[in-house]
Amino acid sequence: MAVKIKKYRRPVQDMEMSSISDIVFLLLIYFMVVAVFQQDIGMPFVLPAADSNQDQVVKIKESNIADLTIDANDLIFLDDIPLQVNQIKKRLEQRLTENPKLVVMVNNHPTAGYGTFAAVLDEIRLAKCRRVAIKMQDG
Amino acid sequence: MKFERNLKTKAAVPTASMGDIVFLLLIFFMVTTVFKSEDGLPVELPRAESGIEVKRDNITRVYVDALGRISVDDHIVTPALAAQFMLQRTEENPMNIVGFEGDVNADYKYMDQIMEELKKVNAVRISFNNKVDSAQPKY
Repeated sequence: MAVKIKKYRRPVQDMEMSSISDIVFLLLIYFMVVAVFQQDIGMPFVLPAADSNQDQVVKIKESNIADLTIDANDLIFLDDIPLQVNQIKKRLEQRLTENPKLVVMVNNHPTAGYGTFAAVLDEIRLAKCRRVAIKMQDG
Repeated sequence: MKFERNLKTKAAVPTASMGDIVFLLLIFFMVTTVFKSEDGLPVELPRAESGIEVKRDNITRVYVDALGRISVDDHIVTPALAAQFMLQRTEENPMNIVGFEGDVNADYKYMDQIMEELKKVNAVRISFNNKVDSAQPKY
């Protein structure tokens, strides 16, 4: 009597692929939502407009002005007293507590470095000084 | 004997793979698309801690490199021409901000000249763009 031996068939191992697209879409949507476009970082400033007539020009009391000067050698002076960049914040904070109406007037020498100016402006902003004026070369 | 002609042949284009084709096209165009970007000038931005994010859509950049060259919209321009371009941009978008991308080693006078021209055309919203990196020494 012949005995029939059943051949052992290996089951086909197939991965379930139908949900792959779901996963891919989920990942795609996740990264689309999470992606942040690179933003520009800057220190905003509003210039005085040319059409502001003379009546609108605000006159500032001499006693309310803090004069910040940067000379040709990138040296910084606050009311003619020399100081370092990292001292500006502290000094301005002191001045602001003494006089909340303080207006900082930044006066740059034409050949002063832009980097120094930016660093000074940064310190002024860090001192939470809201009234800043940049002196233009021709008035 | 009359043979009946089978007139009801179903004509159908298999659409199952349409999705694959669409995706292939989508991926192809996503990969090959190059977004228009402004090259500007190579500048080393000043580092400042107080910088805030400025909306990219509103910003028009003015590059000033260490040699004092001024670039707007990938053209080397004079301060007056830069201001004319900004006038156009401000008319298109009243929220336009002029973003100064100035090199730390540039002379301050170039910024002054540009600001002077900007005032004349009433493009008064500006921003001194910077990097936020407090670990680096300040200028």
